Amino acid sequence: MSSRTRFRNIRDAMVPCLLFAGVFVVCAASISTILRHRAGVPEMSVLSPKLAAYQSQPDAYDTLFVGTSRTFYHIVPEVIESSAAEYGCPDLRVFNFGVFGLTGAEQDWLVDQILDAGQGHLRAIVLEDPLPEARATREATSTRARFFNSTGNAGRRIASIMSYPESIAKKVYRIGVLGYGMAYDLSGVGRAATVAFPAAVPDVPETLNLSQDGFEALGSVPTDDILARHKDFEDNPAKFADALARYGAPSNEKVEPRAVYIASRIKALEARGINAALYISPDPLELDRTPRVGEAVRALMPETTVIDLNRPDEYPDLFERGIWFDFSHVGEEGARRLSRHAGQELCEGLKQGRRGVTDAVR
Amino acid sequence: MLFVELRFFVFFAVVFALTWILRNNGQRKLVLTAASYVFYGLWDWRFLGLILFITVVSYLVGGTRAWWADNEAKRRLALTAGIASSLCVLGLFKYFNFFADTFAEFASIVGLPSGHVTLNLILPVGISFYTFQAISYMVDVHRGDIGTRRSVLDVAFYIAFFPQLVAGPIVRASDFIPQMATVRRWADVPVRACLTLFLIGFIKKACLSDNIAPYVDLIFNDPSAFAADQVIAGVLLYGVQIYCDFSGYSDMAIACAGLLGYKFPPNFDSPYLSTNIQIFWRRWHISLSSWLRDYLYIPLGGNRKGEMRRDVNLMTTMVLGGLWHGASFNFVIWGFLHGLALMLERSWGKHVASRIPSLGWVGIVLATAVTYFWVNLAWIFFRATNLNEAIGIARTYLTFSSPGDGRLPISAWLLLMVLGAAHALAHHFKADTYLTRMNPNSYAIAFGALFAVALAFVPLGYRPFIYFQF
Repeated sequence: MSSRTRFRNIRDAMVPCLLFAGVFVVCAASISTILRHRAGVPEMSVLSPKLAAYQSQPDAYDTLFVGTSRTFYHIVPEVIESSAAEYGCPDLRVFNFGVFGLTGAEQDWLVDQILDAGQGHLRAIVLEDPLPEARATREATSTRARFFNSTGNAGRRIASIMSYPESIAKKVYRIGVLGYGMAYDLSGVGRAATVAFPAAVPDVPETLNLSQDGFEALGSVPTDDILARHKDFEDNPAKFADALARYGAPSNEKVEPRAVYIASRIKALEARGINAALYISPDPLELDRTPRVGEAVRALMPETTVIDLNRPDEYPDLFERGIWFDFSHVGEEGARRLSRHAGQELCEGLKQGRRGVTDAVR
Repeated sequence: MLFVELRFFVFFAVVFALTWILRNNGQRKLVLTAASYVFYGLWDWRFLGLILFITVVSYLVGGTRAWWADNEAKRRLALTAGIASSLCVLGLFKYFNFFADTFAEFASIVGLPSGHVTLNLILPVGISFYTFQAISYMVDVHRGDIGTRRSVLDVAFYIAFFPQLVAGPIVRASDFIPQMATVRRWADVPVRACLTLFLIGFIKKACLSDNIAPYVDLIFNDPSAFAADQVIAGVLLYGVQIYCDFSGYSDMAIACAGLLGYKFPPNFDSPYLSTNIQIFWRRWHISLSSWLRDYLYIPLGGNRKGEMRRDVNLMTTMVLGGLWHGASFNFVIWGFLHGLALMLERSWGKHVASRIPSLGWVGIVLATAVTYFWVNLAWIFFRATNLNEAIGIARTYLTFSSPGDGRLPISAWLLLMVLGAAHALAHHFKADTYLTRMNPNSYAIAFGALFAVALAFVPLGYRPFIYFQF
């Protein structure tokens, strides 16, 4: 076979392949985009019931903690309120908006929903540094992840990944997972099926015990994952001590980009006239990272309240092994101790903040 | 690993590329056999030994044709031992508990000590299919339909070839083994026909069967909660589900084999448009029905020994065919209902049909409707999880009465009408051939658009193929 014939054969084979790929991508993306709007907001564990409860009576709360499981299991609203009152900020009405696995895109969306519910009554929103985006491929195609995998979110999700203090390899991996999740969403898989074939058994909205204003003591609703984490913690006492020893250790990770990322969220809230603060949870596994992020945020925005409780030297009572449930979360006793400190720091911050105690005690 | 999963597409792409890159036939067979073992091992690697055992037994039995060429008695003995050992494996994994339970129940009824023994065995996926293929090899070699394979790789490849390994079609050794002898040529592969067939199978399985399945589950889980028309619609939907599921799998299997250069026989041919049960069985799971005909019904005597014996043979074949699907009396009843219909049809044809005038197209419509009605009645026993449930649903199906008034969250009858019309039109106009005849570029555009639309109708979450359990 001459080289010219071979080239012609390859070309003849390639053209249909390219046509197939092009038409498939255009059609699938079009279907996905059109039907995405119809799909609406999916039911998201913990997040949906909390948001629904808040939206039904937004005026009932004026101080919101928005973060991950380290907010969900650590911030006890009634303790924050009593502690803040003790230090001169009476009548705070706190709601715990902690959601396990909360990522940056999810936090941005949640804050938008909160503000859409009306912001006149809000005194403060306390943000926790969210988890890094796109953590595992198996999570990239969940209904929850898919909702946030739209192309419109791509820019800020990449910004979140790039700002997170970790190695380039991990960033590349996360961008790959993000790409996989977005491709899955753009493929349109299942979009028409949900319209044409309604669920045989309609989803029942999750019920969540909100009697403690969004707080849940870790272990009170045991799951296999929670119990496994607890067992791991119990079985490895040395790991906890080793983690504490890392506090103050030098690190090569650049935390400034993450500080810029967080500061941009805080500034956006402040621009809307809302007191905003950063909450850094005690977390032995993050001792060499999150306190440095907090310092970097302080350096960028000296007037911003940073409730940094991940400091064993300042808060030794929060690092007694007995109050910990697993390596990243305390149990109920720890949550109450932690919330007393957080209430105090929040109040002090509000008093010194840009809008001051006048607004805080409004 | 399901044919509709992304990881299968990746797996197939790798196997496809490797197969066509290699020039040597032996190397290709080695790659395809290894890939087939990987494919099966991903289900449960522990049962690879079982396939190997059946392969070695088949190889040795096939070998006796050469080793004991002059001794028919020895060869027959080896064949019997080979078939028996394959059936023992099948019986142990699939039927031991069924017969042990049945014996214990019988013993307790007649007042004997039951000595109940139950083994905690997992049913190896696809065991019924590869066991039948192994028997086909041994019998075909014994009959002289094909020559003995000198290489155990050939036998391993035939038994384990991944497109048909777990749910058929049951490919005859005499159909498949000759294809191994020559190097498959890419130029002979009907690429567009294979891709079209795969897409049709994908749509049947992923877009129809998997979307319908939750409604069927709803009805069969609690039939008394639903109105009679909904229960009947649920039964008919199950007929659609199992057809789309199994024929979809078969289409994809045939297409995958075709893209690798091997031709499988068709397994379905619009069975619900049959005008009697005999024709239905020429169009439904063709590879099993023809296997049962050639390896069971005819060796039993077929219709050569009088009407009575023919009816007994028919019933035996259909009941055993039912039992092949699973160790349960529901499957036995399913086979019995089909056997009964075949016997009645023969009597009708001989004693009644000739005495009544032809009704033309009205007669065809009536015959098709009656056949469809009967097939779906039998499906009730196939699908129900126990006999009481099946009898309850069958009662509703036959009497049109149900204590419940629940309704499905979808217009089931409208869906059935749309699907029925689409099926009839596709059958009449041969939509697949129209697509296949397009020029390559037009075909690529149509295929890309259709695949995108199909993907949008795939429900979230996969359901295993129904026939994997058999």
